[in-house]
Amino acid sequence: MKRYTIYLGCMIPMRFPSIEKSARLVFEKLGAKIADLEGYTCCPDPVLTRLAEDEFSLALSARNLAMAEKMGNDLLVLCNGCYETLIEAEEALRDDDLRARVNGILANEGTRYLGKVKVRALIDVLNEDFRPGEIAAQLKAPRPVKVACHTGCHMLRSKLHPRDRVRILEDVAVASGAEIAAYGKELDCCGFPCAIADEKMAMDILISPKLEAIKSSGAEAIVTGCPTCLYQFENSEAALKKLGKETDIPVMHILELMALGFGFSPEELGLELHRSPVKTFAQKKWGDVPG
Amino acid sequence: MKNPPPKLLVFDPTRCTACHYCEIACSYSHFHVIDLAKANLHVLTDPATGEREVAHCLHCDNALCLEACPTGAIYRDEVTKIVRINPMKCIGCKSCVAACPVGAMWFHEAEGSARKCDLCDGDPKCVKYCSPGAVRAVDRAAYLKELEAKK
Repeated sequence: MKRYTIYLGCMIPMRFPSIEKSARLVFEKLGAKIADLEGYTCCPDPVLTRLAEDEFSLALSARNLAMAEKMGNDLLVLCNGCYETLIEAEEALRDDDLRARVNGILANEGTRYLGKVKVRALIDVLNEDFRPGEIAAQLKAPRPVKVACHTGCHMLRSKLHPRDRVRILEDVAVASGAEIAAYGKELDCCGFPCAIADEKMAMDILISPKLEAIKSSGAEAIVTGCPTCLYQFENSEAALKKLGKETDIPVMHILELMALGFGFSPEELGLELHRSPVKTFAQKKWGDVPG
Repeated sequence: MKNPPPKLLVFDPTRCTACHYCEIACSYSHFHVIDLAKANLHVLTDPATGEREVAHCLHCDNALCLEACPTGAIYRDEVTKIVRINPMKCIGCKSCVAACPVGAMWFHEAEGSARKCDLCDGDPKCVKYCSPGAVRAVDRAAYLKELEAKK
């Protein structure tokens, strides 16, 4: 049996519990055992916290990695930002001197990181460990849904060129029964970081053109693997609506798409917690599936 | 410790997502603010085509900003090849801002001094925080040789 220790991050349990629920249901169906990382802290943020306090930030990551290491499984990271933070910390802490220094900080609470944990991103786990056969075998309710995929920037830290890296989410979506709507702006950022600095610029050069391209592609929904990108898309749609620009395309997480395809009902996933019309869309597409 | 070889920033538009983390990292590491206007490099998007470019200092061999400076405030570190500004010598004439052909020089009004990229003394934060690897720091000599060979 495949076993993973799951790292949820902050956005998923706090803002999108439907993604957490989908994760637990999907991995159970896939026959994998998920163990919680009890007592984990913020990853922390891959850019801002590290810019402010690099070594403190690394110590926080190392503490999470040390706890995961004790559990022995691969660390399955559900959030893009958390993945980049933790994979970079893991790589940096292969350096013996740096690890010894960081372990000096961790000694205050009796923890020590040995440098032996494997950090893996959700889309890589789905792609490498379950696609296509094991995913296909669980598809009880495949629906011809045309989706626009958005991978998200932090997932692009990879040996692959970004244009090849974004294919992985698309491959997983296809394995989950979806059809891909190509829209030409797959690499463009969701606008979350830019909006921190300049909201109008983020809207003008990233969000509006991206949503326009997605609408023109004939996509029925946006599918992403990143909770922060999801949050940004949904909030931007709400903002655009206030400006009189109708955009109400549902924005779903890849795990929610999979859970629906596996036969779980929109009600039991808690999809009403989305700001975009995910639940209405799911009811329309999957509403006839007995839960 | 031996000095690392001089570096140069290069940009690959096919990798850029326009997340602007390079600018955020730059403004934060230099001024402790998140302010794109206070970044030493800028991601530019053509709204009509969506094409991207980054304007950043090339630390030119024959730096026009350095030539244009009347007070010697701009100088080259001969070891790292980084073109730097000594703000104490800057008189705020903005000649360098006008002279720079790539728009990499800018004027910090509150400080009354021109500012530019200093390659973060050899460990550029824009590179460190660019997830898709669109901004890279390459070995200056090797890269210039590579470009020569392409001519």
